This record gives sequence, structure tokens and C-alpha cells, in this order.
Amino acid sequence: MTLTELTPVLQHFSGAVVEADYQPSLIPGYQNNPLIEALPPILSPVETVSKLRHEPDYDDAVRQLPTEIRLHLLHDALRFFRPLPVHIDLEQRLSRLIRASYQGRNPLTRGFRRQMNERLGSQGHIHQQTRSHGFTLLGMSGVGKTTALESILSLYPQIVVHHAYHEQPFSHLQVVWLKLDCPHDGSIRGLCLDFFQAIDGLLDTRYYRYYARSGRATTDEMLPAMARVSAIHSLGVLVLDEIQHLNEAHSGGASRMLNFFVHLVNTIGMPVVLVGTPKAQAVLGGEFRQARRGAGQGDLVWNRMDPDDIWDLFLKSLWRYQFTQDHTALTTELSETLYQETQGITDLAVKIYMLTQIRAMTTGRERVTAALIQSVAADSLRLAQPMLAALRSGDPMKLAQFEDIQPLDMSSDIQAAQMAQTSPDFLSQQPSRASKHKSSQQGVPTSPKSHQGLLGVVPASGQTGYEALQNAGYIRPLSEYLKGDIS
Amino acid sequence: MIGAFPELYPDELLVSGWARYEAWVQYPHRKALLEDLFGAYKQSVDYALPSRLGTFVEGLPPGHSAASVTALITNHTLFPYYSAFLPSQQQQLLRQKMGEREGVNI
Repeated sequence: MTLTELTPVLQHFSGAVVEADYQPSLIPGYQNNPLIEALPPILSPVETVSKLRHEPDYDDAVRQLPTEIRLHLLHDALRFFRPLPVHIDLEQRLSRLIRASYQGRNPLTRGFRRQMNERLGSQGHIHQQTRSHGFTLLGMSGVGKTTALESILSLYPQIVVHHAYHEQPFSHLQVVWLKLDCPHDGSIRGLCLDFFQAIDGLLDTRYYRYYARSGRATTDEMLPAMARVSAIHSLGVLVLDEIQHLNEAHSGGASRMLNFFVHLVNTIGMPVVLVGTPKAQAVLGGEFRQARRGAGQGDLVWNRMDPDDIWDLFLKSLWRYQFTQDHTALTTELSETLYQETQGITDLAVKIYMLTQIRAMTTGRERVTAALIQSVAADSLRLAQPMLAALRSGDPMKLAQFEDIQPLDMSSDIQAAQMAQTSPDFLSQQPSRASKHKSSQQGVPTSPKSHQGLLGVVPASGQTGYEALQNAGYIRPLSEYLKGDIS
Repeated sequence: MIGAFPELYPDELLVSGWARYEAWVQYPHRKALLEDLFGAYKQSVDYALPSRLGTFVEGLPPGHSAASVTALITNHTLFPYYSAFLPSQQQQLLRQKMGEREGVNI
């Protein structure tokens, strides 16, 4: 055994492995395609919400538990996930994308392998009807792109093991989706190696050894092999996260890699979903944009939440997870303060709320107040402050100076709170900057929607709840979240 | 493990199935193919009476229809033709040797 064989397998986000269970499809184009019929049924928006939502158990009684127990519960509550209209939209896009990509490549069609071999061998573009294109999803870090995608991908099994289809032997290992992070140096080589290792990790194959020659193969050798492996295992969608790492400086990485993705779509019909922060917009220009224009796809920009009903909906679900001894009701003031401090960035909102509670518990105040939120935000988001200030100003030129805000790591705070429990003098410490912020009421834009909120939406007869929400303007395509600042 | 072995047609020789597999995976080196199928690359593949079938069958994807050494020998090699002229003791020995995990002289 050589050293290269001992290369540790990277930990990738992975999903379930299931045996194929074929469910006949209502859609004629999907029928008799084992790859599609083995997928779970197409979800309605209501089902999507109920499957996606993750709300850890909560009981008001926990408020009376000792602080150290409540800190654990609070940490658990961080896994909270509340599906919003954007998530439903994204789920439906992915659902169509995966199925459409399988339409053109049913392995049971006559001469499937021969056709695929021809397509894989061709260098130029194949002029065939490509049904599936993929899309680009851009959004600030912390708005929940990765969480959303991972939750939605988890609705699908990652590997489907086929044995027989309608009594006919059909052995096939189908990989429905694969999510990779773009390597930090933005190199294609790194991505290829990651790809083979990820597939090997999933299927227990040895493609890394054979195609990548344990890491010795050149990029030119690996790219066609990657396309081939995707074809062999009917990869439904390749999700590439953190594409802002793509870098033109590294051996022409960006344009070459993007062209390769276009090539993947054109030859084997496999869609690629690119996910990144707005910084990636620069590398997505040029040639690649031309190619995608031709394919008729657009970028989706997922902005932070606006202070409207969706923010209220989100905050209401979040607010339940309160572990302080005194119950604090969600008031407009608190909602506005939290919005001001976090500018509607999901990740920050959840974490600031929880950190505020930690501080309330450890200082013995046991109440969430606007001043406390401001003080916690001022302390914990110190590095993000210039960025948040730019967001508040709404000036795209100022925003452009900031690359990405850093996600908050909370584990150290919880650790500190636990340590502080043992030292009694911590209790006398007061939040340092609470008083300064009391008067900082900046203008919060009011919601353009009706003031009844979601309760005001009642489905008319013959209308589904989804349609009613759509008519009331709650469900909008992701592209509308683009406020025009970042493009 | 072999990721995607084709289904064998009725009476198709194993060697033909392997050839189709190679046409599908197209490993850059022949060695890789042999190692993938038989766990070792220093060996030749006999079209009539192949050996190392034990290793091959173990590497197949779970639940593959070809995953039985006995059935493979009977239906997808020239064993039935050769064995017609062999005493049963030698038939047994031949079956056993073809099904072993390591390479043997046949």
C-alpha cells in the first residue's frame, strides 16, 4: 500500500441510500423511466413545508431548569429550520431540474450506452434538445443558501440501488445528487479529485484510483472521466457550493471550469447548480454567461429578508425558542431592533437571538430586551459591523467593498457561558454597551403588505392554500428577492 | 467495488460482458480494468474458462443478477462444452478452480 492510497476521504454532505421502489408517474414523459420512478413523489408546497421544517421540541417548563441544562437546550434549538416561500420555490426548481435531467437519459432505452459513449467522446456541442440546465444561486453568506439546499436535497435519497425493473434485471447505482464545495484555491484539479473521492465514498468504488490514478492524473484526463462517471451513475444534479472561490488566477481555473459545466450540460444533459456569494458574480461573467444565456437560464439572487411579513413569520417561529426564566413576548420594538441589528440575515438573526438569551441567563436578568439585543449585537458582530452599516445604508457602492460577512461561531460563546457559571462575579457584570444604543431607532421601512399578515389570507373556494398565498403576494419567485443593488 | 456492471444477455460469454464493461467505463489503463474486475492486474483473461470468478462476483454491485459463480460458469462460459468430455471428478475440480478468488492454472 502506498501513501496515496491512505489519502483521507473528505467529509461531504451526504444523504440516504435506498433500494429502488418504483412509483408509476402521472406525467407521460416520466413514465417507464426507472430513474424517475424511483424518486419520491412530487411534493406539494404544503408537504414541502412539513418535510423541511425542523422545530426541536420545546416546552415552557424548561424555563425553570438550571442554566447549564438550558444552555444545552438552546444549542439544540439552533438546528431550527423554518421553511419560507423561497424554500418552496427552490424545492420546486430542483424537483423539476432533477426529473427533467433524467428524461433525456433513460438507461433502458435501446442503445443507451452507445449513444452516451458517442456524446462523451464528442468535443464540440451536441445539437440535441437539452432539457435541463441548472441555475446559479447567489446570496450573501448567512442568508441560508447552504442550509436550504442541503435540507431540500435531503428530501431525495442520494443513492438509489436498482436491481430489477418490471421483472427485468436492471442493476444500477443511481446517484441522485452530489454536493461539492469548490476547493479553496479554486482549481479544477482539486474539484476533480474531490469529485472522485466523493463518489468513491458513496459507492465504495475505486474511481479515484483508476481515473484519477490516485491523484497523479492531469486535469485533462480527469474532466472527461468526471463526465463519464456522472453518466455511468446517472448523476441527477451536481451542486457546487462556494463558487466564489473560483479564481481566474489559478491556471485559468474559472472560465475553464465553467465551460466544463456547460459541456456537462450539453453532452450528458446533467444540470449543474452553482451556489455562491455575490462575489462570484465577477467570475460568472464573460464566456460562461454567453453560454448560459444561450441555454436560457438566469441567475437567482437570494437576498436577505425584508422587514415584511416573511420576516415576521420567521421571527414568530424562532421566538418560541425562549429559555429565559421570564417570558418575553415578541413586540414590534423587539422585532425592529433585531432586524436593525442583523439586517434580516437569517444566520445572524438566529444567533443573535440565542446569544441574547445566553447573556440574559448568565447575567441573571432572565429577560430579552431590545437594549440587550443591541448590546449583544454590538459585541458579537463587531467584525461584521461595517458590512451591516453598508447594508443599512442600502448603498450598493459601499456594499461592494465588503467581500463576505463571516458566519458566527457560537460554540465558543456557549462554552464561555458555561465557564462563567462557575465564577460568581460574572453575575455582577453588566452588558457593556447597553445604554448607548437605547435611542438608536433608525427608520425601519414598513411592510408594504396588508397589516393582517398571513392570517388575512383565506383561500377562496376551489383554491389551494398555496394559490391563495400566491395571489396575496406571499409566494414570489426567487428572482424577485433581487432588489437591484447587487446585480 | 465495481460500480456499474452491465446485465449479461442469455448465453453471453463473460468475456463479452467484461468487454462491454470496459467500453462503458473506459479506464485510462488496462491494468485498472483488470484490477477492478479481478483484484489483480498481472494475469490474462481466458475467454473460454475464466478464473478468479470468486473475486469478480464479490466485487459486483449489491444484488446484481450475475452474482452467482455456479450460474456464471454454467451459463456464461464454455464450461458446458469442455465438461461434456470430462469425468465428473474433473468437472468438479474445474468448477472449483474457476470459482476461486486467486488466479490458478486451469
